[in-house]
Amino acid sequence: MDDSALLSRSVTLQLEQGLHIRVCSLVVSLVTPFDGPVTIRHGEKRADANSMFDLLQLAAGPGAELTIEAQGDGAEAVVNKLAALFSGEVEY
Amino acid sequence: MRLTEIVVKEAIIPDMQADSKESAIRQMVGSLKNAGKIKPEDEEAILSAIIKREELGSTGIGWGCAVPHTKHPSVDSILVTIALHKSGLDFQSLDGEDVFIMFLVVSPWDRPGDHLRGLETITRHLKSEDFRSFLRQGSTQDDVWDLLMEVDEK
Repeated sequence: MDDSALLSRSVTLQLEQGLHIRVCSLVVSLVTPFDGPVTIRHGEKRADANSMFDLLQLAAGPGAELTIEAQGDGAEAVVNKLAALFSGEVEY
Repeated sequence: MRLTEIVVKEAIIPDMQADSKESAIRQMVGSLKNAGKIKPEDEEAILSAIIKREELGSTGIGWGCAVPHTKHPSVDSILVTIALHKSGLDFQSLDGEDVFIMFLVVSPWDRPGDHLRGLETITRHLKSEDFRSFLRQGSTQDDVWDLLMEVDEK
Protein backbone atom coordinates (compact mmCIF):
# COMPACT_ATOMS: atom_id res chain seq x y z
CA MET A 1 0.00 0.00 0.00
CA ASP A 2 1.21 3.49 -0.81
CA ASP A 3 2.29 5.03 2.50
CA SER A 4 1.45 8.52 1.29
CA ALA A 5 -2.23 7.69 0.65
CA LEU A 6 -4.69 9.41 2.96
CA LEU A 7 -6.88 6.85 4.65
CA SER A 8 -10.30 8.11 5.67
CA ARG A 9 -13.18 6.46 7.49
CA SER A 10 -16.47 7.80 8.80
CA VAL A 11 -17.90 6.45 12.00
CA THR A 12 -20.85 7.26 14.24
CA LEU A 13 -19.82 8.03 17.80
CA GLN A 14 -21.49 5.37 19.92
CA LEU A 15 -20.20 6.52 23.30
CA GLU A 16 -22.88 7.53 25.78
CA GLN A 17 -20.92 10.49 27.10
CA GLY A 18 -19.52 11.57 23.74
CA LEU A 19 -15.91 12.52 23.16
CA HIS A 20 -15.13 13.41 26.77
CA ILE A 21 -11.74 13.90 28.39
CA ARG A 22 -10.98 10.27 29.13
CA VAL A 23 -11.75 9.19 25.57
CA CYS A 24 -9.69 12.08 24.21
CA SER A 25 -6.71 11.02 26.33
CA LEU A 26 -7.11 7.48 24.97
CA VAL A 27 -7.13 8.85 21.42
CA VAL A 28 -3.90 10.72 22.13
CA SER A 29 -2.27 7.61 23.59
CA LEU A 30 -3.37 5.52 20.59
CA VAL A 31 -1.99 7.92 18.01
CA THR A 32 1.20 8.99 19.84
CA PRO A 33 3.28 6.01 18.64
CA PHE A 34 2.16 6.69 15.08
CA ASP A 35 4.41 9.01 13.06
CA GLY A 36 1.97 10.28 10.45
CA PRO A 37 -0.74 12.92 10.79
CA VAL A 38 -4.09 11.82 12.25
CA THR A 39 -7.09 14.11 12.05
CA ILE A 40 -10.61 13.74 13.43
CA ARG A 41 -13.29 15.78 11.71
CA HIS A 42 -16.71 16.63 13.12
CA GLY A 43 -18.71 18.76 10.71
CA GLU A 44 -16.64 21.84 9.99
CA LYS A 45 -14.30 21.24 12.91
CA ARG A 46 -10.97 19.45 12.57
CA ALA A 47 -8.78 18.19 15.38
CA ASP A 48 -5.20 17.01 15.42
CA ALA A 49 -5.65 13.67 17.19
CA ASN A 50 -2.40 14.28 19.11
CA SER A 51 -3.88 17.32 20.83
CA MET A 52 -6.19 17.04 23.84
CA PHE A 53 -7.14 20.67 23.35
CA ASP A 54 -8.08 20.14 19.69
CA LEU A 55 -10.05 16.98 20.43
CA LEU A 56 -12.06 18.58 23.23
CA GLN A 57 -12.99 21.42 20.93
CA LEU A 58 -14.84 19.00 18.65
CA ALA A 59 -17.52 18.84 21.40
CA ALA A 60 -18.73 15.62 19.76
CA GLY A 61 -21.74 14.18 21.54
CA PRO A 62 -23.25 10.70 21.26
CA GLY A 63 -24.39 10.02 17.70
CA ALA A 64 -21.95 12.51 16.16
CA GLU A 65 -20.64 11.61 12.72
CA LEU A 66 -16.87 11.65 12.86
CA THR A 67 -14.34 11.20 10.08
CA ILE A 68 -10.95 9.74 10.93
CA GLU A 69 -8.08 10.55 8.58
CA ALA A 70 -4.56 9.15 8.81
CA GLN A 71 -1.59 9.04 6.52
CA GLY A 72 1.65 7.10 6.61
CA ASP A 73 3.02 3.76 7.62
CA GLY A 74 0.52 1.99 9.88
CA ALA A 75 -2.34 4.36 9.06
CA GLU A 76 -4.79 1.52 8.58
CA ALA A 77 -4.11 0.11 12.04
CA VAL A 78 -4.53 3.48 13.73
CA VAL A 79 -7.78 4.17 11.85
CA ASN A 80 -9.08 0.72 12.83
CA LYS A 81 -8.26 1.30 16.50
CA LEU A 82 -9.92 4.72 16.58
CA ALA A 83 -12.98 3.46 14.70
CA ALA A 84 -13.35 0.60 17.19
CA LEU A 85 -13.03 3.04 20.11
CA PHE A 86 -15.60 5.49 18.70
CA SER A 87 -17.99 2.66 17.80
CA GLY A 88 -18.01 1.45 21.39
CA GLU A 89 -16.45 -1.87 20.44
CA VAL A 90 -13.66 -1.64 22.99
CA GLU A 91 -13.72 -1.35 26.76
CA TYR A 92 -11.89 1.63 28.17
CA MET B 1 -21.17 29.25 25.69
CA ARG B 2 -19.37 32.06 27.55
CA LEU B 3 -16.97 31.60 30.45
CA THR B 4 -18.78 34.23 32.52
CA GLU B 5 -22.01 32.21 32.14
CA ILE B 6 -20.53 29.12 33.74
CA VAL B 7 -17.77 30.32 36.10
CA VAL B 8 -18.85 31.27 39.64
CA LYS B 9 -16.91 34.45 40.39
CA GLU B 10 -17.23 34.15 44.18
CA ALA B 11 -15.74 30.65 44.03
CA ILE B 12 -12.55 31.59 42.16
CA ILE B 13 -9.38 30.86 44.18
CA PRO B 14 -6.67 33.15 42.81
CA ASP B 15 -3.86 31.95 45.08
CA MET B 16 -4.40 28.33 45.97
CA GLN B 17 -2.03 26.92 48.55
CA ALA B 18 -2.84 23.22 48.16
CA ASP B 19 0.01 20.72 48.33
CA SER B 20 -1.80 17.83 46.66
CA LYS B 21 -4.30 17.17 43.91
CA GLU B 22 -6.89 15.95 46.40
CA SER B 23 -6.49 18.99 48.61
CA ALA B 24 -6.85 21.28 45.57
CA ILE B 25 -10.05 19.56 44.49
CA ARG B 26 -11.40 19.68 48.07
CA GLN B 27 -10.77 23.43 48.26
CA MET B 28 -12.43 24.06 44.92
CA VAL B 29 -15.55 22.06 45.76
CA GLY B 30 -15.61 23.84 49.14
CA SER B 31 -15.47 27.20 47.40
CA LEU B 32 -18.53 26.30 45.30
CA LYS B 33 -20.33 25.33 48.50
CA ASN B 34 -19.26 28.53 50.26
CA ALA B 35 -20.53 30.50 47.27
CA GLY B 36 -23.92 28.86 47.80
CA LYS B 37 -23.83 27.00 44.48
CA ILE B 38 -23.81 23.48 45.86
CA LYS B 39 -25.61 22.32 48.97
CA PRO B 40 -23.53 21.36 52.03
CA GLU B 41 -25.12 17.91 52.00
CA ASP B 42 -23.93 17.32 48.42
CA GLU B 43 -20.35 18.46 48.99
CA GLU B 44 -18.83 15.11 49.97
CA ALA B 45 -20.58 13.19 47.19
CA ILE B 46 -19.39 15.67 44.56
CA LEU B 47 -15.87 15.67 45.99
CA SER B 48 -15.63 11.90 46.06
CA ALA B 49 -17.01 11.61 42.50
CA ILE B 50 -14.36 14.02 41.20
CA ILE B 51 -11.56 12.20 43.01
CA LYS B 52 -12.86 8.84 41.75
CA ARG B 53 -12.87 10.22 38.24
CA GLU B 54 -9.24 11.32 38.65
CA GLU B 55 -8.32 7.76 39.61
CA LEU B 56 -9.47 6.63 36.17
CA GLY B 57 -7.00 9.01 34.56
CA SER B 58 -5.74 12.48 35.28
CA THR B 59 -7.65 15.46 33.93
CA GLY B 60 -4.35 17.33 33.75
CA ILE B 61 -4.63 17.90 30.01
CA GLY B 62 -1.29 19.60 29.46
CA TRP B 63 0.22 23.09 29.25
CA GLY B 64 -0.13 23.47 33.01
CA CYS B 65 -3.91 23.04 32.96
CA ALA B 66 -6.29 20.60 34.62
CA VAL B 67 -10.05 20.19 34.33
CA PRO B 68 -11.24 17.99 37.20
CA HIS B 69 -14.94 17.31 36.76
CA THR B 70 -18.03 15.26 37.48
CA LYS B 71 -21.71 15.17 36.75
CA HIS B 72 -24.16 15.40 39.62
CA PRO B 73 -27.96 15.34 39.76
CA SER B 74 -28.13 18.25 42.22
CA VAL B 75 -26.99 20.85 39.67
CA ASP B 76 -29.21 22.05 36.84
CA SER B 77 -26.62 24.04 34.95
CA ILE B 78 -22.84 23.80 34.60
CA LEU B 79 -20.90 25.16 37.58
CA VAL B 80 -17.25 26.03 37.15
CA THR B 81 -14.64 27.42 39.49
CA ILE B 82 -11.07 28.37 38.73
CA ALA B 83 -8.03 27.99 40.96
CA LEU B 84 -4.53 29.30 40.28
CA HIS B 85 -1.54 27.63 41.88
CA LYS B 86 1.44 29.95 41.66
CA SER B 87 4.22 27.41 42.24
CA GLY B 88 2.64 24.48 40.38
CA LEU B 89 1.02 21.29 41.59
CA ASP B 90 1.70 17.66 40.70
CA PHE B 91 -1.53 16.56 39.02
CA GLN B 92 -0.14 13.45 37.30
CA SER B 93 -0.82 15.31 34.07
CA LEU B 94 -0.72 13.63 30.69
CA ASP B 95 2.37 15.62 29.72
CA GLY B 96 4.05 15.11 33.11
CA GLU B 97 4.18 18.85 33.82
CA ASP B 98 2.95 20.60 36.96
CA VAL B 99 -0.43 22.31 36.91
CA PHE B 100 -0.90 26.03 37.51
CA ILE B 101 -4.46 26.52 36.26
CA MET B 102 -7.45 24.40 37.32
CA PHE B 103 -11.00 24.64 36.04
CA LEU B 104 -13.27 22.43 38.16
CA VAL B 105 -16.53 21.54 36.42
CA VAL B 106 -19.75 20.13 37.91
CA SER B 107 -22.27 19.35 35.18
CA PRO B 108 -25.90 18.23 35.23
CA TRP B 109 -26.30 14.48 35.31
CA ASP B 110 -28.28 13.95 32.15
CA ARG B 111 -27.00 16.49 29.65
CA PRO B 112 -23.72 15.23 28.13
CA GLY B 113 -24.01 17.85 25.38
CA ASP B 114 -23.86 20.71 27.90
CA HIS B 115 -20.88 19.12 29.61
CA LEU B 116 -19.03 18.78 26.29
CA ARG B 117 -19.83 22.36 25.31
CA GLY B 118 -18.52 23.52 28.68
CA LEU B 119 -15.27 21.64 28.15
CA GLU B 120 -15.08 23.01 24.60
CA THR B 121 -15.44 26.57 25.87
CA ILE B 122 -12.83 26.14 28.59
CA THR B 123 -10.24 24.42 26.39
CA ARG B 124 -10.78 26.86 23.51
CA HIS B 125 -9.51 29.61 25.78
CA LEU B 126 -6.87 27.52 27.56
CA LYS B 127 -5.37 26.71 24.19
CA SER B 128 -4.31 30.34 23.92
CA GLU B 129 -0.89 30.97 25.40
CA ASP B 130 -1.83 34.60 26.03
CA PHE B 131 -4.92 33.58 27.99
CA ARG B 132 -2.96 31.11 30.12
CA SER B 133 -0.26 33.65 30.76
CA PHE B 134 -2.64 36.47 31.76
CA LEU B 135 -4.70 34.08 33.86
CA ARG B 136 -1.65 32.94 35.82
CA GLN B 137 -0.87 36.57 36.61
CA GLY B 138 -4.29 37.09 38.21
CA SER B 139 -4.08 37.73 41.93
CA THR B 140 -7.69 38.56 42.81
CA GLN B 141 -11.13 37.29 41.84
CA ASP B 142 -11.68 40.60 40.06
CA ASP B 143 -8.49 40.16 37.99
CA VAL B 144 -9.62 36.74 36.83
CA TRP B 145 -13.18 37.88 36.20
CA ASP B 146 -12.05 40.88 34.16
CA LEU B 147 -9.98 38.56 31.97
CA LEU B 148 -12.93 36.20 31.49
CA MET B 149 -15.15 39.10 30.47
CA GLU B 150 -12.50 40.31 28.05
CA VAL B 151 -12.08 36.97 26.29
CA ASP B 152 -15.85 36.41 26.22
CA GLU B 153 -16.18 39.60 24.17
CA LYS B 154 -13.74 38.38 21.51
